[in-house]
Order: sequence, then C-alpha cells, then structure tokens
Amino acid sequence: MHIPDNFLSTPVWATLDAIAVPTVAVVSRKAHAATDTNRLPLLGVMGAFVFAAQMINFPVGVGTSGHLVGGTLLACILGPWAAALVVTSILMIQALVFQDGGVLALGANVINMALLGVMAGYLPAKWLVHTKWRNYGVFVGGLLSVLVSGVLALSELTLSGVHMPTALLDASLGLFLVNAVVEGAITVSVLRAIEQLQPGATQLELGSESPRPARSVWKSLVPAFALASILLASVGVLIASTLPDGLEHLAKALGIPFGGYPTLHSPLSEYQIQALGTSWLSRAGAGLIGLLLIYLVCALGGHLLGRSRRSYS
Amino acid sequence: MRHTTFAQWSSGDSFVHALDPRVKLVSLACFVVALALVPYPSPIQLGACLLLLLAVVLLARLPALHIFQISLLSVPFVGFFAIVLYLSGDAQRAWAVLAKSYLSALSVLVVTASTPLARLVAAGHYFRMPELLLQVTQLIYRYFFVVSRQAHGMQTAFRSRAGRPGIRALHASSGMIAVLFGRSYNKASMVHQAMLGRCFSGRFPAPSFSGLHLLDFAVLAGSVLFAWGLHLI
Repeated sequence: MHIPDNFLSTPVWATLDAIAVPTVAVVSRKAHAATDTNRLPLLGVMGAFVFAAQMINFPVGVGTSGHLVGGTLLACILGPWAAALVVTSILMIQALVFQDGGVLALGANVINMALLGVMAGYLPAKWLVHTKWRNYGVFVGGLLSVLVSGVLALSELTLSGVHMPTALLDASLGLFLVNAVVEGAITVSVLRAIEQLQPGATQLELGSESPRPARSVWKSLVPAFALASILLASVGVLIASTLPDGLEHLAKALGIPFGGYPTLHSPLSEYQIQALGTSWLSRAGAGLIGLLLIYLVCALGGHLLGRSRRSYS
Repeated sequence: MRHTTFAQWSSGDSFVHALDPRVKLVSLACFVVALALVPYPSPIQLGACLLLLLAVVLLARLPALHIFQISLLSVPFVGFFAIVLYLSGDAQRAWAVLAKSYLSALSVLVVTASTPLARLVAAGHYFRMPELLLQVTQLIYRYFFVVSRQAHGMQTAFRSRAGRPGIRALHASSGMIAVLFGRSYNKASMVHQAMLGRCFSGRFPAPSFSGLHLLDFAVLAGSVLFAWGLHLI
C-alpha cells in the first residue's frame, strides 16, 4: 500500500522522512559491507525480477487475485540489508516514474515496506530455517511483512487525522489479512519452486551457516522486540482512533495541537505524567512518539559511531 | 512501451531539458513542499500550479496530451484514499487532497519526462545519496523492462493454456515466477561477465557537472518565488 502525497499531515511525513534518510544510509552501508562487487548486478536484476513478478496475478479463487509483494522473498535470497536496499530502490522508481506513492511520503513508504516490512519478513524465516518448520517460518514471514506494512500505513494515516469509520477500518484490516495470507502462501510456493529449479540460490543467506550459537539468537531478538513494540504502539493508535474522540483526547493529553509540531521535549515528559494517569491508549500513542525519537537518536548515534570507528582504524 | 516513450521524451533538446538536474530537483522539492503546506488550496492556487506545470510541458516541447494521459494513472491510487476520506465525512479535505496529490504526481512526471534518469542519478550523487542505492536503482530501471516483457509473455502463455483459479493455478503461477527467477539469476551472472569484459572496476564513473548557468539561477530563484507566492495568493 503506497501512500500518495498530501495524505499524511506535515508533522507525520516530515518526521518519517527525517527518520528514513539516516536509516537508509545505515542500511546502505551494511548492505555495502555484505555485498562484494560481483553481486552488484545480482541486486539490480533481482530487484527488476521482483518488480516484474509483482505484475503476475495469482488467481486465488472466488473472483479475487493477489500478487507477490516480494520483500520476504528478496530477504531470503539476498539477505536483509540488501533486500531492504533493493526494496527502497523499487519504491523510489515507483514514486518517480510510475506515480505510485508520493515523493514526500517516500520516507513513510520506505519505513513501512522496505525497512520494517522486510525485517518482519526476514526474522521468522531466519529463526525457523534449521528446524523442520522452515516453510512455516517463510509463510509467517510473508504474512507478517504485509501485515506490518499495512498496519503501519493505516496508523500513519490515522495519526494524520484521517478518521476512518470503524467498519471501514475493520474492512481494510481484513483485506490486509487476506493479502498477507496470500503473500505468505505465494512466498513459500515460489521459494520451493526456486529451490527445485536452482538449488543453492536461496541458501545464500538462509541456510549456508551451520547452526548458530545461542548468542546470535539473542542478538536477533533485539530487532524483534523493537519491531513488536512499534507494531503494538501503532495498533494502539488504531484502537484509540475507533473510540469516540480517542485521537483528539490523545492529542490533547500530549499537548499537541492537532496538525502542529510536537515540541521536542514534550512527548517524553508528558509520557511520564500520562503514565500515572488514566488511559493506556494515550500511553500507546505517547510510546510511539517516544520510540520514534529513541530510534532516531539510535540511528544517528550508530551512524556517528560507525564513522568514528572507521576513521580510527 | 513506457520505457521507450520516457527515453524519447527525456532526450529532447529544449532549454528545460538542458537545465541542471540539481536545479530541477530543488525546484521540484520547492513546488511539492509548497503545495503540501497549503491545507485547503483555493481554485486560484490550484490553477496557478496547473498553469505553471502546463507552461513547463509546453516549453519542454513535450506532448501535453500524452503526458496528461499518463498522469491519469496516478488517479486510481490517489482516488482510493480520497474515497476513504470522503466516506469518513471530510468531503472538503477529500477534494483538496485529491487535487493536491494529482498536481504533486504531475510535477514529478514533468521532471522525470524532461530529464534522463542518468542525470537524475548524477544529481542524487551530488546530494550525497548512498552510492549503492543509486547503482542498484539504475540497474533495476535498466533491467525491469527486460524482465517484465518476459513476465508478460509467460502470463499470455498461462492464459492461453486456459489457466483457471484454484490451488493448481497457485502452483502454476509460482512455477512461472520461479522460472522468471532462474532466468534473471542467470542474466545477473551474464551481466556481471559483460561488466567485467568492459573493465568494470567496481564503481560507476563519478558524474561531473559543468557549472551552473545564469538560466539555472533564474529558474532556481523563480521556483523559490513561486513557492513563496503560492502562500500569498
């Protein structure tokens, strides 16, 4: 789901763009480190492949058809960093040449689909790769990647003051769920077919390593928790919006004039006060803003840290 | 096919084509942000934006009707969200957003139709966008049309085999994608060999710009003035 321009309010798109730019820089650096030059054409052609495969309609019955989104498939073939980079490139081309998604909303779309969507698709597949539930892992990955992107996009629209009636919100969530199940099924099915056709192609990132020591499992739990908390916070926003005046109440409680910039110090301090107060819903919203801020600080810190370490070595 | 139309359009020789791509990107950003910051644009403001874009199209000697047809492609995407807004009881905002989103998409289209992608990438390089991202974007754009033509052919074959919905069609379609994957995978190694054959060193050659001309500065000033003026009228 590509958000066009002008549907997100200025604070929302500006914040998300400001988060996306340094994050893409970090992702690009990671992908660069993980990619040697002889795989550069592979990234480009695989991107073109997924882009073209998105156009193949899957007849799933009862008059509907779905199509591959491909974030999880790319992550299984290229690894998470390169996959996130390739999806970012695809989103840029779609926004510039195909008028699919806006240029100001590009940051939001990149965060929803390229960064968090790919991460949500990759983690379950990676965890279950050495067990007999491998295909279930890939299925859950495909399912989660679409679901995460959809819920994030809906909550960003809600934060921008698009008040959807509850029925419409339920309908679109249901639609996302159907799409997510279809994506999971297609990803499993395509990955199995690829493995029969080109054995070893998908082993590049998923299966080549021997079973990992427990420490790296813990390491991959950190992004999983981060992802889960962002998702919970945005689900909280969605629930808050369905309650009468939920979002206005939230905005008022946070001291944000609707449609204005939140001042830098207020979300965290209000979060403290609000935590002692009544509604957990406003806390979920405050949590989202706090998380975004923390994430931004972490991304910037990592960027600076990586730079300084590089300059000393 | 879209690729050849865009390649034809963007290789024109009008003065709009000759403008520095960095200036075009900055002007586009001015236009899009200025439009986004007007909450409920009046018909005069919308008309001014539309006239500006039309003037650019005519000055670039692009086929206005064809550009208009292609710009309508953005309407279904935008329209879906506008209907959501309309249904949620915010008719005024729905119309404002519909018009603004369309103009925003049209302005992007005008810039990409009058600038070759290589020059846009060069501008991105100048603005310190990650090198790998730019390289991958260029490669994707280059091979997308090759791979999608193959995908199109496969789908025609599937339909002529009278493929019907159901679990078997799922297998057939995923087999189709797997074959597409196999071909692309082999294509990637062929591309790599060809690049090595042309003495590819691992980086694309860094683009160079031949300084800004007076006209570039004039356009830059004009777009800033337009962005400012849009909020005054």
